[in-house]
Order: sequence, then C-alpha cells, then structure tokens
Amino acid sequence: MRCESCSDVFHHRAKQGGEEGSFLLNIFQTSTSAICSRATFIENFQRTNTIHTMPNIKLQSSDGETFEVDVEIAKCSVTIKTMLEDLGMDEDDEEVVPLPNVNSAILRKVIQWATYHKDDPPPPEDDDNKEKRTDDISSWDADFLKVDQGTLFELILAANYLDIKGLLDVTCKTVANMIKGKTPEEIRKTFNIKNDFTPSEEEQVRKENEWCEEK
Amino acid sequence: MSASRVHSHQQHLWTSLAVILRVFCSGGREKSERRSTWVFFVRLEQYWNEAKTIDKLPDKVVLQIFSYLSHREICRLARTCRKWRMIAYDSRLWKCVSLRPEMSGLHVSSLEALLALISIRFGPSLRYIELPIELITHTVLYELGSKCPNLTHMLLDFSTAMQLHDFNELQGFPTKLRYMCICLSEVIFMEGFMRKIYSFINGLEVLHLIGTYEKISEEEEEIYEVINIHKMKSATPNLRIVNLYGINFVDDSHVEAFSSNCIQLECLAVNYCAKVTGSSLRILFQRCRKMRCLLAQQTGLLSEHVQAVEWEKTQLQELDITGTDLTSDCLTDLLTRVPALRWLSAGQQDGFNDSVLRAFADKGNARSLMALDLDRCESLSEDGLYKFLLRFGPQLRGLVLSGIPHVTDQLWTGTLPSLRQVKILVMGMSEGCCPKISQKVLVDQLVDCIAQNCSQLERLELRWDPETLRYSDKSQKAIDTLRVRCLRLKCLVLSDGKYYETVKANFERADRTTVVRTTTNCRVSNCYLLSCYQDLLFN
Repeated sequence: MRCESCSDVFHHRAKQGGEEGSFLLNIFQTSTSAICSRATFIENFQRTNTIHTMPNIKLQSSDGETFEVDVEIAKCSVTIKTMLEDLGMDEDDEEVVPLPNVNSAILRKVIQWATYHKDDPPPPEDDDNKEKRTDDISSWDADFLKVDQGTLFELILAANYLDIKGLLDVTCKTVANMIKGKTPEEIRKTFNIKNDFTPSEEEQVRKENEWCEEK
Repeated sequence: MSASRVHSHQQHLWTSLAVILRVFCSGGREKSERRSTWVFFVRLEQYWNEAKTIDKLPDKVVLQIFSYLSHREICRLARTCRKWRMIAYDSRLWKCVSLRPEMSGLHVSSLEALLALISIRFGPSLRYIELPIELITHTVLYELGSKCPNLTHMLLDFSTAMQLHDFNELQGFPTKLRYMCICLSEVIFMEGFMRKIYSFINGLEVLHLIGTYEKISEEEEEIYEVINIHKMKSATPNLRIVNLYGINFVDDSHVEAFSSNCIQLECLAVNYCAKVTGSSLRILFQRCRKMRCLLAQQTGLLSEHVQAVEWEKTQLQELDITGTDLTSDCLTDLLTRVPALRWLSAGQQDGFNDSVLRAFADKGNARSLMALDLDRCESLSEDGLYKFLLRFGPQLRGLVLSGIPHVTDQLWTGTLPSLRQVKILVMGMSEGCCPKISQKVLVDQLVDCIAQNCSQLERLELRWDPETLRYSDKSQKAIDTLRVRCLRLKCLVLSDGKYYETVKANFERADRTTVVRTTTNCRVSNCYLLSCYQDLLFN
C-alpha cells in the first residue's frame, strides 16, 4: 500500500467519526510502521485534507505504471527537467511524462533513491586532478545497491538515460569496486564477458601493457 | 551475484514456465484468458532476454567506471576483451598520470617508451603529469610541450637527483601550465634548468617548492640556496598560491621577494621553513591586498614582528601559527585585531591561555570562525574551553582539541550537543612523554554522545592510547549507533589496539571497509576545510 492510499483510507474512516475513527488515527500517528514514516503519513494526510500545496508530476514507466512524484524530486533528473521546461508543463497539469526506457521496478527504485537524496547539495564538477575515490559510498547507498547484477546495470542505464549524476556516479563506483583486484579471467567470469581476442592479439595486448605491471 | 547464478535462475524459470504453459494450453480455458496468460509470459520472456549484462552498457558509461580505477587496473582491463581494450586506451582516462613508482605511480622502463606513450596514449587529454628525475629530459619536456597542449599541471621530482641533465638543448616546454610543483634536492642547483623555462611559465598561478625538511640529518650541514627565488618571482607575476614547504634556506627576504612582484597572491604557505621570522609580513600584507591565507606552521615567527603587522587592514581569513613561540600578549593582540577569521590553527602554543581565548571571544571577530585547532595548548583550562565552545560551537565545522590532558571525555560530553555542524573532530591524547592521564576514558558513552549529536561528522580521530580507553561488552551498540547515525563518516582513526580491532570489525561487517584506520598511518586535521585545499595538495 502506498502512503497516499493509507492516508485516504484512514482519513475516510476517521471522518466517519466515533471511537474507531480517532483510534485509527491515533494508532497510525504513533506506530513506527514500515510502510511509511510518521512524518510522511502526516504530510500526506494533511495534503489530502487541504488544498494541493506540493506540486506533483506523473511519471509513466515503459510497462504502463504511473508514479506520482514531487516535481522537485523528479527534477534531479536533467532529462525530466529539460522535458518539463521544453514542454512548458504546468505543475497542476494532468500530463504524464512517459519514460519508455525505464520499467516500473527500476523507476520505483530510482524514485526511492532520488527521494532520499533530495536535499543533497549538487554534486561538484569533476575536478580533473582529484584521484577518483570509490570508498565514499554512504551506508544507505551501499544497502540500496545490494542487488543482483542485472538490476544494478538496469539502474545504471536508467541513471544514464534520465541523466541523474549522483546515481550514475554511485552505481559506477559500485561496479568499479567489483572489478578491483581481479585478473582479466576473473573479470570475464564475474561479468560473463566473452574473450574475443585471437591468441596472437591476446599476446599483443599483454605486451602493450607490460609497462604497467608491477616493477 | 555471478553470471552463472543468473543463468541457473533463468533455467529454473524456463522449466516452470514450460510446465505452466502446458497446463494452461491443455486445459479448457476461455480463449481470452489463454491469450492474456500468453501475453504475460511473452512479456516475462522479453524481460529475461533483456536481463542486463555489462556489455549492454554504453561506452561512455564503461569509460566512467574505468575512470574510478588506477592506471594499473586499466591496463589489466585492456586484456579482457576487444571493446574494453579500446576503452582502456581512450586518452580521456589518461588525464592525470603519475610516473613515480615510489609514489604509487606507473613505472616506464625507457625514455623511448615514454615518448611513444606521450604521442599515442596521452596526447591532448593529458592535464596533469608527475615525472621522476630520470624522465626529466629536454626531449620529454619538448614532446610534452608539443603533443599535450592541455597540460596545465606538472610535478617535477628532483629530490633524488645526483646530477641535473643537460638542458642547453631545451627547445620547447608546455606553455599552458597553471600549476607547478618542484621537489628540490639538497645539493643540486636548479639554475641550469630554471633559466631555460622562465619564459614559458609566466601563466603560473600555483607554485609548490618542496624542500628537504624531512630528510635533514642530525648534524648541521651546509645549506645551499638551490633555487633562485628572486629570479623566479620575476618570471611568475600571476601567482595566486605559493607553497614553500620545509625549505631550509627560505627566510624573510624570500617572502618579501614574492610580495614585490606577485600582487595577486592570495595564499602563502611557509610551513617548516625555520628561518622565517615574520619581519616581512607587514610589507607582504601591504602589497598583496588579496592575501587571505597564511600558513606558517613551525616557523621561527617572532612576537614583535607579528605585532608589527597592520592586521586590521588585511583580508585574512585563514591562519596557521602552530608550533611558533608567540607570547600571550602577541596572541591577544593578533586575535583582537585580525578581521573575521574563519580558520585558525594555533596548536602547541604555551602562550595561548584563557585570557587570550576570552579576548578573542569578547573583543575579536570570532563570528566567522568555523575551524579551530588548539592541539596541545595546555595553558587552556577546561572551564575556559567549555565557555568558548558553548558560545561558538554551533558554528564550527572542524575542531581539534587533542593533546590537552585535562580535556576529558566529560568536557566532550558536555560540549558535543553544541557541536551539531561539526564535520571534523580530533580528541584525546596519546601518552608518549607526557604525564600520565589518571582517569580512564569511557569510550562507549563518548561514542554514543558523538553519534547522537554530530550527524554531519565526516572525519573523527580519537588519539587516546588503548590502555586509557575503557569499554564494555555494550560497546557494539555504541559503535552501531555511530555507524548508522553518522552516514557521512568516511574516516575514523583510532590507536592500534583491541578497541580499534572491535570497531574495525563492526564496520567491516557492514561493508564499510575503508573507514576505520589507525593513528600510525592516518591523521585527521582541519586542512580539508581550507578554501584552497585542492590547490595546496602536493605529493
């Protein structure tokens, strides 16, 4: 159940009044349910009660599912931001932004990531001289990315298509960490890569890169 | 998850699908129902066929993944398959190259190999290069000048030089350099090289001259002025940042020299240049109106010279006077006259006592202060510090209060609630030759307090020795809280011992393997908060 449906149900029941109504409200306000946090619940509850104050946008995945997302969160994707600006979309429109390259499972995860990171400062411009680190992945991101390879690559493709730098960076770092320390054969096994070198090519590449090996 | 597991999952799925399909198709179901089931399975099949593998990623994404790996790794990746070989050779991955093997750089076996690499591999993408002495020849420099038009940062390491190569034939040199770092040797005179490049380096904005401070032996050896700073400053009028690190011959005349031609100067660092006494600081600030950062750690600053500076007319924001022997009067005078300091490092100052701190708080401009380092300032009392932190703690991003025996965990637990924005924190003291600390440190409560209050924490160092720390079997809970609450924590430094092992194991179980380190190979300081931190990095 999504938050809005929860709050709708409880709102309706609470309105019916009586003991049950206020009891339900009370439970939900004090419980630490895993479905949604108390803050989100109250926020949504208030929203359904009052005039629509937070502008939302509807995103549609490739398999037809629609997700309603706060416009500011959706704008972390430069692709979506540009689309909105180009199409001159009004926030109150019932327009739906189609995302034919992203399926619902992945879109859901992307929205989850973007929501958690909505208050992050914009990522700094790449400094040419800084050695790129891979050990600065936060705990939350590390947990978020504990998924199978297929999902990880789908997330990378989605982040690339939607142009979400933060997500692309952290997913690429994760893959880089999977590569570190492995021999070419181990890398091939891990990622199911076909060795398409001929024996003479293979020898040539090895020679070309001899200078990089340990002294 | 390995590819083979994905495959076995796929096989399993196909078997089940085949069974279900047979069941549905043989049963007497409605045509429409069968059709929708069919559509469902077709969609599922499509999904599985499109299960993403790494070869589905576009080249530019693979390039980004490679950019997080070292050059050694990249050379290894080139041997995996044809596509990866092509990407590994993309010159965009070779923007910053270090060829100093002793500094974890690459090792090039011959000059010819390097020249070939410069043309083929590095080319126009090269932005930054580090060269060891054996590769600093006129042909290499000429090649770099002609083939790498975007080379803006260069490090030349002469420190192990026995003799300088002949540069009489030097025809060309990179012309767009903005950053140059020269590691000096003790005995090799640089003039033969420098006079050939003066005409190429007038665009230089950042200059590092790294001396041999760390290599100085016990006896008083002869000190050679191996590089002519007076000539250098004439060639480089656009310098903004000058770092003279640990150079034994640098004195006040050299500071004055830079001030006479480099009026764009914003940051001057003379750390570990023992001969600098500060007599030219007054004129430095008069001439260089943009000076906002002065780092003079472990120099020979004299109080009368420091007091002679017109501090109130300067734009100074960052000051490091660690380990200089200044009097309390001088410090009070300095801190009440200087305009808003945001970064102050005044460690190892016996003269820094409570009255200095009070004067700074009441009469000085401490409103902009965001980083403070008072390591080993033993003249400060617990009470004085407590009052100061209660008032200014909320604005601090970095705080170093290590090395003071009477700053106990009780003071910390009392002041941590005021340190909500702090990103860098260093506390505790190791015993060494100092008087023994009588009380044990209850580290569990301390860690818990840090976790509850400092959610922005990025770097933490606890310097207490393992014998001083007292922890219980409940310590795991405190460590968990720290790990879970301080999600930005990227560095936690402890003294090597049982407690360190416990914390390290905890973080490793949570897959945060690089966070916990020992004091033997890592130190935390406020330097990350300097505005020109990036430009001040060298080696």
